[in-house]
Amino acid sequence: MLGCLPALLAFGAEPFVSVEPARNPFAGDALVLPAGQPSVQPGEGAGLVIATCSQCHSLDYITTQPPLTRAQWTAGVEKMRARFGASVSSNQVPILTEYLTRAYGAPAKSP
Amino acid sequence: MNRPGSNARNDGALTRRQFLAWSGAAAAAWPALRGADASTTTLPFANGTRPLVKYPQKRPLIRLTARPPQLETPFSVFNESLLTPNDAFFVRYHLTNAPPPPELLQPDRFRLGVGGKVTTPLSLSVAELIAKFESVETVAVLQCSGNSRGFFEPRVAGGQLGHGAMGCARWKGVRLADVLKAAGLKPEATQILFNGLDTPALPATPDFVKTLEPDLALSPELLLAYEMNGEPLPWLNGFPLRLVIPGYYGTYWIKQVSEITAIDGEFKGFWMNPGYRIPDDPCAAIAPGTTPKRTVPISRLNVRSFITSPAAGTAIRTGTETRVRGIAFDDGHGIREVLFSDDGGRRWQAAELGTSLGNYAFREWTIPWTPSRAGTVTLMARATNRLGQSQPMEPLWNPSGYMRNCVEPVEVNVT
Repeated sequence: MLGCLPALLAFGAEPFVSVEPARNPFAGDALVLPAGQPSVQPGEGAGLVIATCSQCHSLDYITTQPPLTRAQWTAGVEKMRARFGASVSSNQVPILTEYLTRAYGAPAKSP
Repeated sequence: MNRPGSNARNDGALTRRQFLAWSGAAAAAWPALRGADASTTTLPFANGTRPLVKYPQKRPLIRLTARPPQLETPFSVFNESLLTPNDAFFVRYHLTNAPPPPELLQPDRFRLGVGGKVTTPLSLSVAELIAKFESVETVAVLQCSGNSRGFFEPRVAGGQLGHGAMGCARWKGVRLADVLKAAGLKPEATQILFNGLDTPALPATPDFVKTLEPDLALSPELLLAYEMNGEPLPWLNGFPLRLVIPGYYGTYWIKQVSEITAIDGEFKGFWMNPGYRIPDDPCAAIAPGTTPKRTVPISRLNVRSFITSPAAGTAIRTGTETRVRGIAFDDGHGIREVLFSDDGGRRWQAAELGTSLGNYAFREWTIPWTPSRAGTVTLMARATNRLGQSQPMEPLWNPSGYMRNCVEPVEVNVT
């Protein structure tokens, strides 16, 4: 921190960025992940979304998205089904997509 | 709660209880208490409100997702020190069972295996790695491919990050090249696979495996790191061992790296293709809303710079000299120049560059500034590296929301 002194004197302003980070006071924390995640908005299909999507990830993967178009939500569901192997039957795809578009959707337009 | 559009002014805010609990450690280094509600912060884009959550070995960070954890560094941290503190360093996992449980990471259990197209397969504990190979240190920026994705317009799906999925640390480890040479890559090895101990929930989900070309893997700059800023890696940043690839996006910096496999042929895993691809274009960009004709794997960082002080929305008096400062970085060619503008980009003047911690590190820049007129003033910084690569004034776009590097304006209120 002594290296900061000339700068302080020269400019009389707030100190420069220091180089070294502060020591981590949490190094002794128990290695336990905190609980807690948001739920999704109620509505038809919400239960299926919770059951299906929660197999692999918390629901904030959905709730933190910006308003997405139907095409974007459809692509998301398809990615989870086809690429990530989510157990989603073909008749469940439109239920998931419809719910997501209604609850977390943007007005239809080209993305 | 913060006002939207305030560039997360409440970020890093602490509850009074937390602040008191920590004050013995390094009170002067912590951000000032700001705002009434310390439990959330709002990133300046639609649906940007996030909880601030404390994880093991971390101070409260901006939580994007809980399972697996994705945590963002509050932007004010980048004004604290050039090296990002371990307890504030961002976290990004992909698979459900991540981070791997601590029992798999115990010194007597954890092993790094090196196999495939090698003459001498290896299985080494971290202690054996340290004993057998020379340890070296490098200061390097780790940045998520999707850092700043939340600012993309039109918005794209994916992790909606502000600017906090980056950090700069001093990494200590052994050279990956030394380990690969000890194993002896066979001539037919065309790609090196890296896998960590994180696993998916479903058997059908692709494991998070990344590949490097042998030429890059054998570069002396790549490390198998066991320390970060002079301490063991935090659990959430890869303890006990992670890959460090200076100049490359974080997607390749495999955490809890446990398997290195040399293969012949081309790896076809999801996370190399179609995952983490960019348009095959020098700017990794296409017209907004369109689809790229051809893609390539994301690779090297582009040039970025940020103003870290004053924060957006700060009130500053006319006629008072203040010191504007920030950080700049690129993929290792080194920052040559940072220009500063206080009129929305019409006129620019050169900032002073601070001490270099190495070409892969955050480079501090500063410039004295005395505002002359009252009103909302738009400050900008624009960095150029030694190759002459710089930052676009307007954002570029790609469908995955990768590699944003435009000039980031900061509005302050001059009174």
